[in-house]
Amino acid sequence: MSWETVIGLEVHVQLLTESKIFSATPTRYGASPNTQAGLIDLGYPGVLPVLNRRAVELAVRFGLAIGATVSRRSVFARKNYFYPDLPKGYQISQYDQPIVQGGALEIPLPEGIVKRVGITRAHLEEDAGKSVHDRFPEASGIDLNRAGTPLLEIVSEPDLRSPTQAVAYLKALHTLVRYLAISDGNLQEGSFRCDANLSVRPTGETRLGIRSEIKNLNSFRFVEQALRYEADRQVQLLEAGGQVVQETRLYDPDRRETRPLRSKEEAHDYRYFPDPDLLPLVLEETFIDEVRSALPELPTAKRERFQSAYGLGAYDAAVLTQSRDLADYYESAHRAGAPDSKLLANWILGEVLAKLNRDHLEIDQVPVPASMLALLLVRIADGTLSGPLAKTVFETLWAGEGSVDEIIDARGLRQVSDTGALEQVIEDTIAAHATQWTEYCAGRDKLLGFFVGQVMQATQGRANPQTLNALIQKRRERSG
Amino acid sequence: MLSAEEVKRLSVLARLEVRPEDQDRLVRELDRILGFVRQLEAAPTGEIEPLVHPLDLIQPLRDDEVREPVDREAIQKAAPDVAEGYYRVPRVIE
Repeated sequence: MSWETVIGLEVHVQLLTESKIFSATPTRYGASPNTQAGLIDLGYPGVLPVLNRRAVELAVRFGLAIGATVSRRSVFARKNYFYPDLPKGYQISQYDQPIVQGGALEIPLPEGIVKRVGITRAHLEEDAGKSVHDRFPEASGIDLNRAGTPLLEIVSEPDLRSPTQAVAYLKALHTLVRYLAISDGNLQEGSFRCDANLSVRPTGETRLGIRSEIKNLNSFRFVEQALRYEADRQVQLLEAGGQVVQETRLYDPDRRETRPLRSKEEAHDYRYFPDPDLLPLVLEETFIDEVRSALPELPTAKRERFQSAYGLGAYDAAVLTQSRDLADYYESAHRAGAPDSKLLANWILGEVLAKLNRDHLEIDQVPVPASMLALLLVRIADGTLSGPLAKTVFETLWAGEGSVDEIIDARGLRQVSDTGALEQVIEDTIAAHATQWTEYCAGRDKLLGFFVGQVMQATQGRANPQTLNALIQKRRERSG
Repeated sequence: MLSAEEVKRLSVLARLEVRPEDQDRLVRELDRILGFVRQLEAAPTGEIEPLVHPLDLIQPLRDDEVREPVDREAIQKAAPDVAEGYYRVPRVIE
């Protein structure tokens, strides 16, 4: 029997604010434990939460970007459970009236197919603190710095049909939240966290199977591994005549398996109710209009524009627009006068990305400014540099050793296109390899490569290859 | 009628220990409270919009600014056990 996998994802995105969602303490990552947890974050009696306007703006920005309904009125609710890193005994969240409802995300799949994945809802909530288990023997340490950090929980429809699609969705969402500058999307620091619901059903069946929820998926690679494992596990279970149990499972990346965390019977009963400390959040049209007018160009639109405006292929355009910073780098270089938009794309996708990768840098830390790359490409176009020489110059630029023209002059890298100078070197080469020259003139065309190589060597690679080829062939015609 | 099982589950969720000798009384009392709720539920509310807050006001918003200083030492004086800046609690691993 063949099986279909059905996946829905819940992503917690940490919103880029200076202060917490309901209090005026900082959200900075990595501070000394509990130095950013104030009285409201700690749930002291008598304190009142006051909502951060910026967090609301960022949630609305997301809603508008995915074509969702932005609720003119939404309500905060208490989600009740006990855990040491949740000081109040409840998390302030949204339940039946979230700020964002509906909408969709378009995700690129292989072979140029675009899949539309429905978004059920996105709601605002506060984060909990962190428990540390390896610090003290027989005890856990609680750091409440993260308590109250604003999160947007984005819930997808069960529209995804494979672990690969799930990863494509996550990557598209990750790109989008960074484009919108609503989150830094830092996976290591927990700014972008994913839980998955997965079930399987016989192909052709329309009802959903019993699902398990998988937690602790903190990298794209783990998501794919965990979902593959879980789909296989469920299929094997069903094929052996068993039944899937509705439960929460934890992914263990070391063992590459999921294991039960709690069953349906042990599932939390959160007893949601409207938070009496917070009034309904009502959004004026003017507020929503302001957010809308400040929306940046979105990834899909940018990708299409890169194809039409710069004549780039689908793949090049997709990679270049993966991050707003990379796309900006391309366009800055283009504006700075880089002569050939396709060559520019090749250089960025090749040299620039390879070196960023090698040095573990992000595009916003690139040591070669876009204008410098543009000038380098101008020097290729005007014949000063050959491709290989340009790579040498680029390496030097990367190391921060001067400007394009300084490096060319200081290292004598200027390509030799001057016919007179090259002719002299050719004569010297012929004199040194008279036998080969005679054979070449007698018709052994393959020896052209030999002479080109010799002259290149003599000029340290600086000879313009086209000029050189032409000169050697002309010289043979004269000899013959 | 509320069952003893349901009360047991509620006590687990609420982290309340129920002594065996209190259980029957608790079930009876909670059931009476639910009786009051059933009376409320009987009120005709079909035409009425749900009320989420008794005050007819909307949520004010504050600017995104860090304005509340955190005095960790002073705050942690109220905690029974702190170490290295952490609140130290009995080991919890889910």
